[in-house]
Amino acid sequence: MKISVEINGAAYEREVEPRTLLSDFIRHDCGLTGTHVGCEQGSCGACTVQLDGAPVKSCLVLAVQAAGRRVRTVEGLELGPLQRAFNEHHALQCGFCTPGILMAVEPLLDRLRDEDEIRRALVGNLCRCTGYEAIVAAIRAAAQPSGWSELMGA
Amino acid sequence: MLARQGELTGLDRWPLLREAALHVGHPATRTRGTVCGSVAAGSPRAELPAALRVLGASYRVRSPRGERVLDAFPPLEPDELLVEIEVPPHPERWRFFEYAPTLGDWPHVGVAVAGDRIEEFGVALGEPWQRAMIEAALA
Repeated sequence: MKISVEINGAAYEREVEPRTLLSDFIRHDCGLTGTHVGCEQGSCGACTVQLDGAPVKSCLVLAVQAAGRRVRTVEGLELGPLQRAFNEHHALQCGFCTPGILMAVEPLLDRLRDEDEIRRALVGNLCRCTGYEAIVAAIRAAAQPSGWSELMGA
Repeated sequence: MLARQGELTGLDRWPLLREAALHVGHPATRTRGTVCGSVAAGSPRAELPAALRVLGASYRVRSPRGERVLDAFPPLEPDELLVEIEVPPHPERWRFFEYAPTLGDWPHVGVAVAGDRIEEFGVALGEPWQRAMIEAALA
């Protein structure tokens, strides 16, 4: 079937099979390979994108379910405090999980008040390199840019 | 009217549902998963069905043959669809607890309490004698 999906502000009109996953649509049909595919069963979170502003695991959404809707992938995430904090805190090693983490956390940033909430926001994203400490520190710094990070010894 | 699991996590009126929903999957799955879907899936380890049971919810089910409202949620007929869940006012006394190896995983065991109703879920405490033991301990 023919669908049109708005991704990062641009319209992508493609012919897809009804069973095509949004994750495969984004990568294979639209060529946007910043969205990574890990488990393809909703566990690892690497494929997280935003659908109409809300984080979703794109391997659990059919492409046809996104027809006529607005998708934002990591390519559409403007460089800002979150990525800067990931850089400064060395919050990635191989980087495979990073796009998913950025897309999952970015809409929640101003609501994450403490470490417990940050860790709860991260439960859907697996990282096999860092042990999460640097990721939590980076998100803490990005969520509270005005002084809280020093206060917490991050 | 709420549809997605994620909408429950912002609820003040039903704190038990809010707490239960925070244990369902991940933030990025709760934006897609539906409350009726959690119930209709019928998993004995699921949080929301247990929370809804102790809250005394009723379930509106629709099929080509018409509609019926159930006080409890038995398995659906193949042509039936769960379309609405109605939840009565929340009792003052409530508790929710579960043990899962990782937050967001299926729980090994959990318990939901509202008013004088208690419901265990998960696999470890399914035996009638264990239920009696828990109820005695919580009385």
